[in-house]
Amino acid sequence: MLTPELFAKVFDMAVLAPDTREAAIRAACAQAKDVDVAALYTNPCWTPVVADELAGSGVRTGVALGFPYGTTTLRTKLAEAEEALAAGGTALDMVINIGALKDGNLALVRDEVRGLVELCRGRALAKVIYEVCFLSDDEIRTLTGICVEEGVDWIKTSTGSQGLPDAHHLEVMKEGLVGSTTQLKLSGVPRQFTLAACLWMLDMGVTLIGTRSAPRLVDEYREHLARLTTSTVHD
Amino acid sequence: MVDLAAVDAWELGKAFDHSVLPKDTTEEKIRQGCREAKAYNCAAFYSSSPYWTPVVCEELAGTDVRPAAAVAFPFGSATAAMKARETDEAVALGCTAVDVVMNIGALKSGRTSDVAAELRDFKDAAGGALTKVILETAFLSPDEIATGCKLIADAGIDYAKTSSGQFEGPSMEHLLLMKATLEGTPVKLKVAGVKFPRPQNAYAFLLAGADLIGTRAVPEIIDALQSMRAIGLVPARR
Repeated sequence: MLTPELFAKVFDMAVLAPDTREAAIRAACAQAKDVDVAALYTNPCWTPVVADELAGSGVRTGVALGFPYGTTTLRTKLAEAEEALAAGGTALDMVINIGALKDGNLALVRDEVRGLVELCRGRALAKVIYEVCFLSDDEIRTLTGICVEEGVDWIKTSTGSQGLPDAHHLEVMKEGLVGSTTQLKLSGVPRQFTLAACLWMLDMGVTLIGTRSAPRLVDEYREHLARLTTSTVHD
Repeated sequence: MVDLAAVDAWELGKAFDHSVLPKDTTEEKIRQGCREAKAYNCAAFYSSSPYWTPVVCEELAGTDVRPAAAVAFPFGSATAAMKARETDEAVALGCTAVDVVMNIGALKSGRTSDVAAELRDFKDAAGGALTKVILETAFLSPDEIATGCKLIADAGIDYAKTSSGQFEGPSMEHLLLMKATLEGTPVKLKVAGVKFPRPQNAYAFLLAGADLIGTRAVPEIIDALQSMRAIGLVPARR
C-alpha cells in the first residue's frame, strides 16, 4: 500500500482553462508544492511563472503543447516544445495530430512523437496525449505502437476538453505497453473523480493521474488509510 | 455592416467565413468545407491551424475565397512568440486571413501590455493578410471586452471577433458593446462561435452590425434567406 507521500506522486495537477488568471496559476503552484504532486501543468504562456514558483521543489513544471487541439503543424509543435524547455518546463505533454492519425498520415504522427522525445531526452518527461474519445481501438493500437517504439515516457488518454476516457481505452492502450518502459497516464477525468476510481485505476496499471482535484484526493486517501488502521486495531 | 436589403443569396456569401474546426477533422472534411465555401461565395474558409492550409489553398485556387487559418486555437494560451511564428507559417503557406485567440488569462490578469505586445507581433507577422482577433467574450466582463477592443484597435487589427466556438458563444449584448467601443475606428466586427448555429441568430447579428459571420453552418444559413425575408426578420430586396 502506498504511503500518502507516494500516493501524492501519482498525481499531475493541471490548470488549463484559457481564462485562468495569474493569481490562480500562482495559487495552484502553492497547492502543488504543498501536496507535493508529481507535476503541475499549465499552458505555455504561464511556464515562466510556474517554473519560478516551483523552483527548488520536487514538483515538475509541466507544459501542455498544442493544447487542446493538437492540430498545429510539426514545425510549430517542436518549436513550442523547445520554447517550453528553455522556459523551464520539465514535463511536456503534446496532443497528437488526431486528423493525421485518422487520415493514416503515420509518418507525420511518428515525426511529432520522435521530435518530442528527442527534445525532451535528459531534460524533461515526454508524454503524448491521445484524445481517446475520437479514436477507434485500431487507431489507439497504432498510436501506442509508435509511442512505444519512439520511447515516450507516458501515453495519456485525454485533454479534458472533449469526451471522457473509459476503462476500455486504458485496456487497449495497456496491451501495447507490455515489455516497454512507456507508462500509462489517465487524464481528462471529471472534477468529481473519486478516490475509489483512483485506486481502481492504479490497480489497472495507471501510474499517473492528471487532475486538478489531486489535493482533495490525497486528503481522502489519508483519511482512508486512517480508517483502515483504526479498523485493523479493532480486529 | 451588410445591407441585407441589397443582397441576393450569392452576394450574401461574402458576409460569411466558413470553417471546419473540430480537432478530429480529416482531409476529406476540409475539402468538403472548401467546396461549400466556393459554392456559397464565402469570404474565407478556415481550418483550425496552418496544418490544413496546403489542402485549403489547393481547393480554393482560382477563386476569390480566402484561404484562412486559426492560430493558437482555441485557447490562445500560447506565447506571443509562438503565435507570431504560427502566423508567419500560415501566411507563408498561403493564408490571406489569420485569426488569433487573444491571451484571455493575461487580459484578465491586467497584463494589458503583454496583450498589446502579442497583438503587435501578430499584426507584423501577418504582413498583408487580414487580421482578426478572437476575444472569447463569454469569459470577459463588460470592462474586459472594452479593454480588449481598444487593444485590438490600437494594434491596427482588421477585425474584432467574438468567440472561438469552444465555449459559450457570443450574446447580442457582447456584440453591441464591441460595436460601441469600436465606433469611429476602422476595426470591423466578426461574430462567430455560436455553438448550435441557426439562421435567425446569424441574421440578427448581421442586422445589429456584424460585418462577418464565422460559422460551420453557412449552407443552412444562406439557404434560409428567403424564409427569413418571409417572416420579416430580413428586409425585402430593394
